[in-house]
Amino acid sequence: MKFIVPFKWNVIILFFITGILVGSCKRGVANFTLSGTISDDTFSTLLTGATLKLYKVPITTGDEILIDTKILGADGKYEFTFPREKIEKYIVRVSKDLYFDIDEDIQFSTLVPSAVNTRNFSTKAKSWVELRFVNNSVQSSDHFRFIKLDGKENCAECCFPDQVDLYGTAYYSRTCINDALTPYSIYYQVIGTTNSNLIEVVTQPFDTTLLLVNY
Amino acid sequence: MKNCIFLSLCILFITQFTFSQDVIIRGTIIEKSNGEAILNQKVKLLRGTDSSVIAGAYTDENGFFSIPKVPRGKVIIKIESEQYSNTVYPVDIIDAKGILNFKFEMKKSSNMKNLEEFTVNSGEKQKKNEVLTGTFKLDPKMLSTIPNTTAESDLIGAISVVPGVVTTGDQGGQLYVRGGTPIQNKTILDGMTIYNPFHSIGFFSIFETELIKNVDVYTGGFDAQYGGRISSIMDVSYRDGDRVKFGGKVSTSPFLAKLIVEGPLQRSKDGKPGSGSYVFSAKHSLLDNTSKTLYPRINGGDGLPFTFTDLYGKITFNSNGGSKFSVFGFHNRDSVNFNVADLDWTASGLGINFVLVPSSSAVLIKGHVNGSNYQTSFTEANSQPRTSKIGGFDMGFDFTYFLPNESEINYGFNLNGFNTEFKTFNELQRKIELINFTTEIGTYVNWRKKIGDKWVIQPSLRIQVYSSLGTISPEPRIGMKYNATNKWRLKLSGGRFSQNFTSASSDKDIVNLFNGLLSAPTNVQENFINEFQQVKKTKNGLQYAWHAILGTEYDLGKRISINLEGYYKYFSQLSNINQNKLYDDVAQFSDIDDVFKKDFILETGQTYGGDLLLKYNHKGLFIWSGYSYSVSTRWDGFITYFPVFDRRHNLNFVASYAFGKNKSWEINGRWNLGSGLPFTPTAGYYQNENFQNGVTTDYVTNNSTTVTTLLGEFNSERMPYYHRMDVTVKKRIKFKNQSELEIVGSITNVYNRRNIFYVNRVTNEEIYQFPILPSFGVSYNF
Repeated sequence: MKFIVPFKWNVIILFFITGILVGSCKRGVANFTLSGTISDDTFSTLLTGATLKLYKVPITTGDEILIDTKILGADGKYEFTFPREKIEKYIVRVSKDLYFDIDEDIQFSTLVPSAVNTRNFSTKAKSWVELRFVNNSVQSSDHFRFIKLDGKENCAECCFPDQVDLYGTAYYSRTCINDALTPYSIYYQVIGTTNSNLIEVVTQPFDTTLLLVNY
Repeated sequence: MKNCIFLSLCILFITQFTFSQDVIIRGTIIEKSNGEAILNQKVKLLRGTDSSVIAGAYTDENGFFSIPKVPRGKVIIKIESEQYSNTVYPVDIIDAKGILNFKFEMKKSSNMKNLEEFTVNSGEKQKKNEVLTGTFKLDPKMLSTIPNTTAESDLIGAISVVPGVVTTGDQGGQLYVRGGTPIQNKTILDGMTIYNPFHSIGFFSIFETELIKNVDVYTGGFDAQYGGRISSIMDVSYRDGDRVKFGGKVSTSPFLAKLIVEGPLQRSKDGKPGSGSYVFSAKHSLLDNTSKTLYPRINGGDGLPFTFTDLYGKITFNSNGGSKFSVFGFHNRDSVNFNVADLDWTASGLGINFVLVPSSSAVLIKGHVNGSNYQTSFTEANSQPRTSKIGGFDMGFDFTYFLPNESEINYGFNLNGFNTEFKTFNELQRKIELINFTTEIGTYVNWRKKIGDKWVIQPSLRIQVYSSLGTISPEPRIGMKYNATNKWRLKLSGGRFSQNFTSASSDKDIVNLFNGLLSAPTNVQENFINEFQQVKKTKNGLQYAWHAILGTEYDLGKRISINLEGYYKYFSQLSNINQNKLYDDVAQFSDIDDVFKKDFILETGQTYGGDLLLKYNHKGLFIWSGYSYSVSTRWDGFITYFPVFDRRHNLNFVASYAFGKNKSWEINGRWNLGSGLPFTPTAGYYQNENFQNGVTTDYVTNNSTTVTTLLGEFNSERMPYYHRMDVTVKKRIKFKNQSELEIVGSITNVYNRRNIFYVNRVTNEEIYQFPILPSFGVSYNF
């Protein structure tokens, strides 16, 4: 017997076959996409040529495993796509000569797989200040005290978190790091005299600026 | 509860006045010899003048039929059957409206050709009137035909050959239905939910095969009458006791002994069925005593340390009008005692069922009220026991209104409440205890409409209210069938499903003796990510699924029928024990993601595949051949993996042949071929330094004696193919007093196939499933 499937049935069959085919597509590979820009706060531009490294820290291990490395282009943008795994956190590290490193933790729980996770970071150019104190008539009882008021703190190359006392010192010189184009200031006292002052300099990018005290 | 009673009274009231506007002929058909209802019996209504067919109907599981909109004048009720004597009953319809009730007692036909053929043919009648996607109906004859692992027939043997059903092992294995785990399969016995239908040994169910009247296995896409599970339904109906005479059965085999007694509550008059009956059954396992001696090759000579006892009893009262009232109760006990682990579980229940045929209403009313409890404990060496309890009640009413052209509307509601208690200890021996009380209300409307001879449509809607969780789940379902020709039918169904229960053990366990239950967990992640990488805000810990099934049936003459179905199930929310939990859920770890802290986890999954079933039945030869292709995946938020039950190919071939004088000999065989189940490979081993001396431990020179296994990718490899043949030979000897002796001999795993059970990862020793296993049993029906 010849039998022709009615039109409505064609539609229904097509619908179900399509549904089954769509349903059977390979899925289940969740990825995170992490993107953003790295800006240069010193010159108010985007950072270029920096090296970005993304690390993962597997749950309970504390191990840092490198996932990917990127070199920033002219637009200062980056993008990482990586599988969603059993990870406690991710770490983004950015380095470039004469710039401060970026080292940021990104908690696993803050990332969303179906969206672009934007994390923008910024850094500043390095600069240095030379603190030079010259005692023009040195005596052993001279007491010179200074304390840093402005300047970069909490970094490996940073100096003088506390007040400093110098006794009978004829010449003192120390170079400290600072964010470029930002003030670096100290307040000093020559103990037992009225000689005290606040001195401030603005450090220049990639260079050393002299902060001189003659007393 | 008050609201529910009010609701039921309202429905009764509305029912009474809504559907009684024409002449209805209805009644019940029972077997005269024992009073048992005859199901799926066609009843024709003929015109008195020319004997042309006006209408027809089929009897339901209670033997009830109803033909509405009967015209005035002379009509004839005709009941034709190959198994029973034909009945013709003329009726003169005078009034314009009213209900005429009849009761037909059918006598077995002396020239009945073959019971097996009748069994299949009666099922054929449903094919054109019901959608039947994903539905497999198992009758008592089939249950006794399919060989089980032993000489004892059991429901589990028949279920395991249903296309789409996968078993994961000979002992302690679980049943998985079209991608659904055991917790996602609802087992119902006469309206009562059975929380653990299978004994721990894995090849015996709690059901009494001889008492089973009908089993409907819905492997997916079931209508709105059923709810509370997201994968499948197994609806078991027991028959009533014999209403005419006292009888029973005793049987024994190396595996178990059982006793069934039944009879009328009052002495029968003139051989006619009485107004009530009772039935009682008991079975008790013997294999813990016999297995060491008879089967020394099993489990290295340790035998099978499984014991169980099942008790069941029912009393039924019947009225002349077809109404029926039953009280039943059961008690099951199960115990496993391995050297390293002990498991015990018990289940008890008491229930009332009734079928009410109101004399002045066209509606058939069915109801049930029952209460049951289940508790289990599992103790492993050197650890505290795990326990799980569930106790609750269930009350439901179902109303059926019969429409012309063999159509009908069902509607009803169900109220159930249960408390779950789960106690376990973590690795630090810290007690974790969860106690919940949950109530659910389910209401449904199910309309089955036959349009002409070609179309059957069955839209239905279920509203499942999880009142304790403050959640309402609307669940639309649809079923359709197109009778393209007399031989060829197309069908489809689908819908949305939800469930409350979660398993207290992980889906990732291959052999799982501990079957604890929990209500929907609340300790789940705040957001969960599905396999489409969509972030979903967690609303509750319920489980949800969508089903779509498309199928076709084709009859190659009267003897061969073919059923082919393709299906897709999307499990949009699954709750599971969180195996990624590594941190306590405390403020100290607030930065850690929920998926590493919560006790339970929400996942997603999908299953798709196709099932092909071929049935042949002629002159004592019965063949059932089913092939399933299935792909199941689960997504746990990190990876897509193949669950432990993902069997790609599964073939079951069952043949039964009755021969000899009066066909008193019967030989049955079953061959099962299954592709390998997934397992996690061993990637390597390493010496596990335990730093016994603290920081002074010299790990360079210290030679640790502990070897630790490094696992590979989860479930990335496959076991070898599984295949096994079982054969049963039966001889029935009838005595003059109508009693019958049946002798059964069986061989499980005839060609002694070494199917892998598991491999010891350290020693690489392969442990096999059952070796060749001969068995012998004898039963006496009186």
